[in-house]
Order: sequence, then C-alpha cells, then structure tokens
Amino acid sequence: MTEAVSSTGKLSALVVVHNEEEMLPGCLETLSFADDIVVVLDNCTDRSREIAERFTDRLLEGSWELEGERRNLGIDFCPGEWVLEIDADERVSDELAAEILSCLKSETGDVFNVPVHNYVGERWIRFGWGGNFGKNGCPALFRKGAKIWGMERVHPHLTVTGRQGPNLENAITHYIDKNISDMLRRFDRYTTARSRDLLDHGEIGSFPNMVRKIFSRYWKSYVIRKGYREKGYGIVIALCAALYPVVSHLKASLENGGREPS
Amino acid sequence: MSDIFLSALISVHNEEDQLAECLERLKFADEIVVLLDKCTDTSGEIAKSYTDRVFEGSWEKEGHRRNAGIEHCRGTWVFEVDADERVPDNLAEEILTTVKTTRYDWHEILVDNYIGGQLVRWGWGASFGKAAYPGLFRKGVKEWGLQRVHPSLKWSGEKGPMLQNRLEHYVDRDISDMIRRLDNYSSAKARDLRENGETWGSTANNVRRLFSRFLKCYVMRKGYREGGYGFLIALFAGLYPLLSHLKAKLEDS
Repeated sequence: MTEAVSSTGKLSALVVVHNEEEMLPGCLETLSFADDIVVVLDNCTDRSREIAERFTDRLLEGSWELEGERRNLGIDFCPGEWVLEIDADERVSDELAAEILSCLKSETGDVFNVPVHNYVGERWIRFGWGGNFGKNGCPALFRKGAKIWGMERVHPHLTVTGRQGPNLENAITHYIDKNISDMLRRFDRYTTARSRDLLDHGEIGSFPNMVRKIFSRYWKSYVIRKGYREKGYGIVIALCAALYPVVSHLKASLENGGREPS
Repeated sequence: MSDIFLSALISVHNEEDQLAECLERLKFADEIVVLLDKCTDTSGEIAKSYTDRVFEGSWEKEGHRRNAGIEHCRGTWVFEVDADERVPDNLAEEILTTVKTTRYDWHEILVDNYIGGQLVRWGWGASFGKAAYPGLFRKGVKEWGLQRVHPSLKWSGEKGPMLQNRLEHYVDRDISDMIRRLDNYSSAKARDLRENGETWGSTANNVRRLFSRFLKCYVMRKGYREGGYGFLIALFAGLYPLLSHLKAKLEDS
C-alpha cells in the first residue's frame, strides 16, 4: 500500500471500525458531504465490510492490536488534504457538516476541536465525562499530518502539530452507550486493554495509589465536571472513571492482563 | 418405596464447558436429576450420558426452576449443586453418612470459592458470593421464593449442624467474569424491582449501602486478607444495590 497523494482542499472522512454492522450505516449516511470516505476494517467478522462497500470503495482491511497503529494507517490512506475522523457510533449533523466545510475554506488552523454530545440511550448526558471514560470534544478535524496517534491499545495519546484553529460550535452526536450494562461492558473492555498497556510499559503503579485515585477521580467527575447534574447516570460515569485505574491495575497484577503468565 | 434415598439435583443453562466435570463428581448419589433451562448448546447430550432423569423447560424465575427441580427428585434427600461446583470425595462421603444418620431436616455446606485457579476464602457475601449454602435437605422442607436473582428460602424443618468438608465453587474465571456477574445480577434485580414498582429506596440510601457493604465484606468478613480479589469482591458487593437501583430507576428494560 502506498501513501495517497493529498489532493488540495479535499476532505476525507475516516471511520475506523471493528464489527460495527449495527451502527455503521447510520454513521456513513451522514458523511456524504465529504469528498471521499475511507473505512478501516479491523478484524471484522460481521457485515461491516458489506455495509462499507455500499458507501465507498476506499477500504483498508487488516488486523491491528494497537488502536493508534490502525488509526495512523487510516489517516495515511486518506486521499484528501483534510481528514475528519469519526467513529461508527458518531453522527455528523447537517449543521456540523456545513460548519466543517466553511472551516476548511477559512484557513484559520490545521487542527480543529469538535465538541461531542454523548448519548446514553436516547438521553443526552452533558456532564461528568472524562477520566478516560468519555470525551466532551476531540480534534476530529485536521490537516493530514497534523495529528499522530500514540501506540496504546486504549485511549492512545495524541501528538498534534500545526496551528490550533478555533473550536467548532456544532457538535458530533455520539451514541456512546445504550444503557448501564453497556457502560459496564465498556468499563470491562477498557480496563483489560489498559492493563495490557500498563504491562507493556512495565509500570503498573501501586495499589494504595490506585485506591486514592478512586476518590480524586470520582470527585473530579461528579463535582468538578458537574456529573451530579445528571443524577443517576452521573454517578455511574463517575464510578467508572474512578474505578478505571484500580481495576486496570488489578487486572495487570493479578491476571497478567488476561494473558498466560509470562 | 423406591430405593432412591439421595438425589443430586442440578439445574443448568448452557453449561457445556462445566457440566461433565460436575456430573462426574455426583455419581455417589442414588440418582442425578438435571434440569435444562433454555439450553441451546450440548448440555442436554452431556447430561443424558450421565443420567436418564433429564428435564427440559424454560423458567423465567430462578425460584420456579429450582422448585420444579426439587419436584423431579425421587429421593428422600436432595443435594443441590450448580454446574460450576465440584464435590470432592471427602464431602461426598460426609453427605452419604449425614443423610443416613442425621435427625435433622437440612444442613448447610461450606463453599471454597475459586477465581481463576486461586482459592479466595475471605470476604464473600452480601449477594455477591456465598461462603456456605443450605444445599442438603429432606425433600419438602425447602421452598424457593420467586425472585429472579437470589431467591429467598422458606423452611419447614429443623436445621442441623454445618458439614465439615467443603464444596469447590469455580465462581469466576477472572475479573471480567466478576464484572459480567455484577452486570447480570443487577439487571435481574432491577427487573424484580420494576415488577414490584420499587427502586430499592433512595439513591442516597444505596450510596450508603455501597460503603456499609464494602466494609462488611472487606473488614468484617476479612476480605482484606485476600488482597486484590478481596477488594474487588467487597467493591462489587457494594455496587450491587446501587447499580440495581439505578437500572430500575433510569431504564425500562
């Protein structure tokens, strides 16, 4: 695979998916305003490919253990000068699409932060996100080359170069979880992935430290980020954010990240 | 009178991985009764290679299913186990001796819970695991309540002393299993609560329960002795009421 030559002024929409047959059509439908759509299919065993083919012929299939790796490859594979990176459970409204297009013409930056509205089921949950359990915004729109993902399994860190443009006003709609069970399943997946990252980096931290983090992170999510305004869901979000370090740590220390002991 | 004195009873829902090993250890009983609840895997075939007392059905509530199982037992005594449990030889012998000699109607059995390959002895309870259970009883003295999860029990006999030997219970393979169990238990509990038009009290009350249950498991039941797993058992036992409450309050199904 060779890196595509960027076409000036063009916008590529990039979606990186792993078995997303349910969410993918709704996502791709909102991306037709882009000049082209690129879909990266990671280890898909469902109908994701078939669905993606209905919208684009720019598909990249493979198997990558690290999230950062497959996202960087996807960016390289985009033909446009600009990239909009969207997940399968996210939707771009008409207003946001129009704002993105006018943003590219304005030439006010190389990277733009787009707000994210997270929905649990049908309900917009506005407050409390953060602490590795949900984001309120992300640099989803960028000039190719201005954003590079780090090599972690979960929540890869970002290296951003170039001028930061003004934040966009319209938000991405993110159907993050259907219900509390979904949140717990996500919590389980994140902590397993995180425990492997900890082991890879050879530093899993100390148990008492992780226990202290429960309280500081709960406070941060529930009080400082105003999770209390969301009542019940705010509690669950704060709990998941709070328990993320200690459970990741215990999965690493007790179970070697779910792998055979080395 | 039939010559069946002791029935071993097990009810299963898709347990093909665990079932054979469990049934292998039940041969000391006069009969094995297997209840297949909505099984779509090979549990039925496995069961039939050990016994012809296999009954299929679909029960929404654990209590109904367990009562139905007891009905199918022909023995004077019933010994109830789950597919993820194993009866060691010493416990089998003790059960045989007990049912022949006891003057009581039911006995509790101690449980050794394993997470992965590790024995975790301390810290269990508060609806997230059992340290002992009333698994050996004369037919007719034990009746299960009709809750979806952790059904209550009604007794009509005299309780005898706890058995000495322990049942092995492979409760979770790993922490992910524990989280899934917390999710399943709290969803089932939320269904029970919604059905009765309840939410298990106020949110504030359930936050208090989180702390009191954590302390009960981690301190009073000595979960701290188990290190990390003890911490998690206490944490999940603490979270169970709060999550059940929130699921019942915020969600419809």
